[in-house]
Amino acid sequence: MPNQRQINITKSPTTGSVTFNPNPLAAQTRDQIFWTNNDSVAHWPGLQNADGTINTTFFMPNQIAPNGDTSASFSPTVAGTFNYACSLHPNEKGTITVT
Amino acid sequence: MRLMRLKLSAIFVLLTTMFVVFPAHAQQPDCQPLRDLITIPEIKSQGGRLQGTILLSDEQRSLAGAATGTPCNFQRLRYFRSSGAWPSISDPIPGPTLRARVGDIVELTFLNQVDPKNFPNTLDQGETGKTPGCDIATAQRKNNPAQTSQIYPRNDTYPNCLHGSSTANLHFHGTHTTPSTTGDDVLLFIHPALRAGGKIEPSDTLVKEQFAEYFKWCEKNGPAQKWEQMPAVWQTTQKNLLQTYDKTAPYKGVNGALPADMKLWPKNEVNLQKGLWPQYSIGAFPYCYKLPEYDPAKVKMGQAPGTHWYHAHKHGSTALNVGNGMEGAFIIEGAYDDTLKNFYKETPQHKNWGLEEQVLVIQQLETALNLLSGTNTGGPAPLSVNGRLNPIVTMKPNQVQMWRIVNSSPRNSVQFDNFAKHGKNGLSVAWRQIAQDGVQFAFENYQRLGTINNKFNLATANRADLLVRAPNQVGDYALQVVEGISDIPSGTPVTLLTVRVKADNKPIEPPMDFIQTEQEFPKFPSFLADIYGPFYKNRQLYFNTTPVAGRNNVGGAMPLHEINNKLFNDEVVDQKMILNSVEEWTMYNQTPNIAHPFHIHINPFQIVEVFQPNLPEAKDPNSKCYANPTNPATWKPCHPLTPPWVWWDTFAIPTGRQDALPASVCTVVSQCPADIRQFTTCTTGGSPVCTVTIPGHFTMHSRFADFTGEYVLHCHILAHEDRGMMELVEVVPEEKNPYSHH
Repeated sequence: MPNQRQINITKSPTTGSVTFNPNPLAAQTRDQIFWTNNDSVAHWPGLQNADGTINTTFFMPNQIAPNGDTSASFSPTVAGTFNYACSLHPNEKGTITVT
Repeated sequence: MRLMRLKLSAIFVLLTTMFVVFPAHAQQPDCQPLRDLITIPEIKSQGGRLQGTILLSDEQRSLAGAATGTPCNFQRLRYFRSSGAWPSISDPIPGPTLRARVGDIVELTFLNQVDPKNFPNTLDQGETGKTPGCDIATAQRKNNPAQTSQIYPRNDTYPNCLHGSSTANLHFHGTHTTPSTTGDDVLLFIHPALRAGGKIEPSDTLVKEQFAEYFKWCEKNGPAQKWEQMPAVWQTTQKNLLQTYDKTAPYKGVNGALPADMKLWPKNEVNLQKGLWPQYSIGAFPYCYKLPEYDPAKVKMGQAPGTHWYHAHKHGSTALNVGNGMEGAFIIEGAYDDTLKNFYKETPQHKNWGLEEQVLVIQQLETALNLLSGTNTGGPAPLSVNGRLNPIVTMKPNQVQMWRIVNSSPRNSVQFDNFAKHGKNGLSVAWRQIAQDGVQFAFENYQRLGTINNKFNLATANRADLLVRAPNQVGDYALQVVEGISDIPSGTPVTLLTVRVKADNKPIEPPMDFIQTEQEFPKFPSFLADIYGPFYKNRQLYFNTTPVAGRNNVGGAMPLHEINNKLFNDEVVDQKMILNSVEEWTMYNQTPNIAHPFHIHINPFQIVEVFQPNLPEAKDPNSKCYANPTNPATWKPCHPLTPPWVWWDTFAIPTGRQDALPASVCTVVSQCPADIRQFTTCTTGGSPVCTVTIPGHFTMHSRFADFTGEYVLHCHILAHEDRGMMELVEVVPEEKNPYSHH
């Protein structure tokens, strides 16, 4: 029985930096993971490859609209650690730990 | 002073934020079994009016994991509650129990205040890829986890796909009322209220004021026939809100880029120009209709008093919505209740009697459907009752209670098997069934089917009323049930609930017992007399799942669930019936492992014949009841059902049976006996084998009484319905008879 897991994308009103919450996200295989964008600009989480490039459409086919939800849910099938970053703002990083 | 005020408001903001982030009720999820049953708060009618608010809200609630799967944890669920005081517990309890009386008028405010930001891709038609409108889910590839593939929607297409689960409506399951406008209209899409600058639109104040005006009008005139009869301010409000949505809703990651054919107001405009009721609303909807009392001068059928229920019924998200908790019991009282209460009332000779009632809503709660997750293995969601696993129902020694049971599970059937026995004498709790699907048994059926501890199987959406008798011996008695999706439940029983028999200082004297005589049993309403022919039409509907061999996770096609080889089309009426006509329908099912539960809205039906080809006696070549795969004449029930027939509004069509034919009979379809060819498939290759599928079936009689309009029939395994196992039906007045040549 899978669960839904939500990651909030939020901009700090004081520093202006954007964070993913929770980070890291603990999930299990088969869970449905999605991001919620609470910011006023679009974001697009993608898988961070070992060479530093970002696989933009790994989690979702489109960016997430400002103050919107994701265009898809992502379901891991194997355990492991996913490092991800925003394709539009590569300094915004997060991790999903799948057990 | 000003500084102080600022500080205070900062604290307030902090507190508010905490309130939003953490559930107000508890820091830890709690799914422990063997806690007391929660009595669900009621909205009760007064002065002939059932007035109240059903609020669709979302919050973190404790969700139990499957026995083999995830542990108990907090999950954000969208659920029904009433707008006033509500238990501050994290248990995922069903929505308020509605309690009315036959003849009452229903005046319910429905508010959809889900925050869609908390749920992915859940506005009416979501964001889109190549399959506009369906949910999209990706998963890692098994053979290459560094890549992902789309696992949904694959071969599902809008609107017969999972989508739009923050949009909802209400279906009043078991009511005999109008299927149109503000009645039991499941074709409505009520979107979440809009949120701008922390404000909810439409506001609760505006809704209250406008709906009060409409309810007053509806009391006088009956449900509105046309949208123009709604309060003018409400019409304008809805137009403005829908236009705002159309201008601002997200599409492919961009706000306000909704393509023209996904905009909602233009669709409403088309309906309005045709004089039809608009399909889309934002934030709120007023349900107003009557529960008709039987009066031969006015109606052919009355509302049957009994245990009914309500749930979300928006095509594409019924499974997820009901799996989240958008359901509740709807009890409609009448003479039936008066008789029962009178029989069990306290008198000087019957000390501490009185008919205590338990409303038990069986749920199967989950937040994530299998089709959208990476693999389809793992246990189904566990059964709970009123939000708790295996809760404790307290009874006194020698007490008889009335139990009203609703199986609101979106998937599983629940067969009531037995109560565990205790002590040397094997004493235990006993039951007798007195009603099915909100219609009481005729006394003959109470004697025949309502025998002590007679097992009964509630498919999804079925209800049963029981008289339950506690033994004289205190102790815990576990109720064992078998769950599944077949008409012949098998598997290990699980404990649904536990009766704790506990003495207090008000002993029941003499012991309460079951009703024994016809004089004491509720009188069967005359409008529920058996339906006989002549039948205006006989119809056959085939419910089938193809292919039956499970789904391939990534890449391959998913099986289709179809009626008469097609999926739902909301622009095509599949069955047209004449108002007040009587018909006989036979429903067939060739699916070998799924008993698709057939449900039709508005009018109940009587089951007059059931054929279960998978019963042991039908499989035994030495039995006189053998269903021979090469002789369709034997594909019929061995034991006829005798009148009076039981009324149902949902009935699981028995599973089909697949038998391989000996090569001596045939190895290619064209050589098989002519009368079984349409049920036969053959393999090709070296040693071909032909397989016959003997369909299970039932036959029912129904009267399409009192109400014209469009509504639906469908499979009540709700994910099947969402994916298209549904038909649009219409009841038309005699002068529009499509079968007449005049």
